[in-house]
Amino acid sequence: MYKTIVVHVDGSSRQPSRLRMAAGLALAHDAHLVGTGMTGMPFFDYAMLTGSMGSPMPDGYFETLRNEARTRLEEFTEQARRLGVTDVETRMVEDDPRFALLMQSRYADLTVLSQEAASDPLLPPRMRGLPEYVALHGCRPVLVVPESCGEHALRGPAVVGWNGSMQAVRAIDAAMPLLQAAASVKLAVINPDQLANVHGDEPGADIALYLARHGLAVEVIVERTGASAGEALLSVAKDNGAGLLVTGAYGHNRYREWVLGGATRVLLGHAPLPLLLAH
Amino acid sequence: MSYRTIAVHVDSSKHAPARMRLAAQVAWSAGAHLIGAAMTGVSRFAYPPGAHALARTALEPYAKVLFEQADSALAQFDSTARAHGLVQVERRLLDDDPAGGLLQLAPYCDLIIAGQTAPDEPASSATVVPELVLLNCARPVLVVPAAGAADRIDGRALVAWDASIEATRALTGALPLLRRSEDVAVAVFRSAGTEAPEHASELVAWLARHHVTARVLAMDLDIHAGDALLDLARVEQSDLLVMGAYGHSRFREQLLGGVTAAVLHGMSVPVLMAH
Repeated sequence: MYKTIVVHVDGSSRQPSRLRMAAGLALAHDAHLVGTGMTGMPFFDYAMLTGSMGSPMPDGYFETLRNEARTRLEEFTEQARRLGVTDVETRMVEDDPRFALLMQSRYADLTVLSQEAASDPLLPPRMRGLPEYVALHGCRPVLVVPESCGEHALRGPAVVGWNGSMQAVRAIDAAMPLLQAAASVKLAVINPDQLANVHGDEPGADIALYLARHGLAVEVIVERTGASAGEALLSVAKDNGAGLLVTGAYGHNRYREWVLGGATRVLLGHAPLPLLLAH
Repeated sequence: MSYRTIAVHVDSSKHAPARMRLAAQVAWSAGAHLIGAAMTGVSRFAYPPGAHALARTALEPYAKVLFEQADSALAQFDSTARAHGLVQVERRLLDDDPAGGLLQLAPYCDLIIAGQTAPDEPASSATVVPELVLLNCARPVLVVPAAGAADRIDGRALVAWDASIEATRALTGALPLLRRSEDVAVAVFRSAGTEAPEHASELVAWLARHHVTARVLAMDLDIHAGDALLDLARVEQSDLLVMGAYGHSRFREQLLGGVTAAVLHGMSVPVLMAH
């Protein structure tokens, strides 16, 4: 059950698509919608700026940041009401987006963020990777919405990546309300032979039974492919005309990512459909 | 979320009947499918790959005794579950050590029910080590105390909250139980440098939206203050404790005395934990 949904409010060009998605979910699940806005000034920078005895407090600058954030939140409230959501709340956090969303996500069932453009020149390096940051450091699922995504996407078939891992268990758990609302659920098992001790004789059968007890009829799709897990999942999603992809979020160290190519990173960069991640 | 599949560890220890009764009660009130899992006690890694069944190896004469023990425990489980009016009952015999067997089932269950390591029984190959299960699965684990387990846990619940990932997972995993509780108290632990107490109101609001009415007990203590949590549970007359399971390195545990270890050692009421 999604009863509290957090959506990132930054006034960017990608905000309308994720807001439509979040508002649609809030209406469908009778949930409380929280718009989280932020000044963008990390506490560390603030401390560095004001920590020296001689330096004057740039009060005017901070007030401008706060006012801008407040205006964005007021616009958000108006947009949400126009989309039909009445149970709306705004939160202003005086910190950077990563910290603000991580903190707010803890008291929510779902956090709705946007897919980042591959090369957004306006985005400072440390602000990049917001979806994977919140998914990997938090304990709540993150719904990553591509800019081009329509609000009815989630009503189509859903594809779930299943490899028996704890992350995949958590993703399925977190996605349950979305899976129950999807047109159909396809369970994609990529190269099960490499994980024979996890999957047993019939890959996906155990989790399909578990999901059946939650009222979900699941079709298992076994893919044997030389492509990476991320690419394979995307192609299963494409073949099935999926409107949602559900998968665990895996944080690997930089070296392993570079050598093996992280599935999560592939999906975050290229998924043309909404992506639900949990760690 | 609701519990649709629950697995309980079944063995022939003297504490097993109380554990099975509680599991049957929880499954019955949730309308869930209940799996009784009995393990042979021999790790599946102990024999060569391919020889899936223990009975097919040279250990056969010894295995016979283990299988008989597991079978009789499962028969007892079955009659306990049926006596509680359960229909969806499944007996599962796994060729594995107890923690390994439960971990094999964990991805396909909403809740795992295991017993506290009993201080009054010799450790055997049939004993589940709850810590092992907790730290290696993504599911909530309900640990039933060896001494004096009540048959019901829908009275007074105590949630230990320190805003950690583990506590969040435990709280989320406990929602189906908390919804049935008559009284839910959230003990907000905080120590220097952690989140401000005003977040407690956000937690209460989140719970209320999940149809759980909770009251806040502000504790100016670190959650890691050993027995403070157990004392509080006693004062509050709680019959269910909900908390995160924290896995620290052995060194830190030795120094600080982990609260998880303290609770798993000294618990007198069922504890729902998640990692």
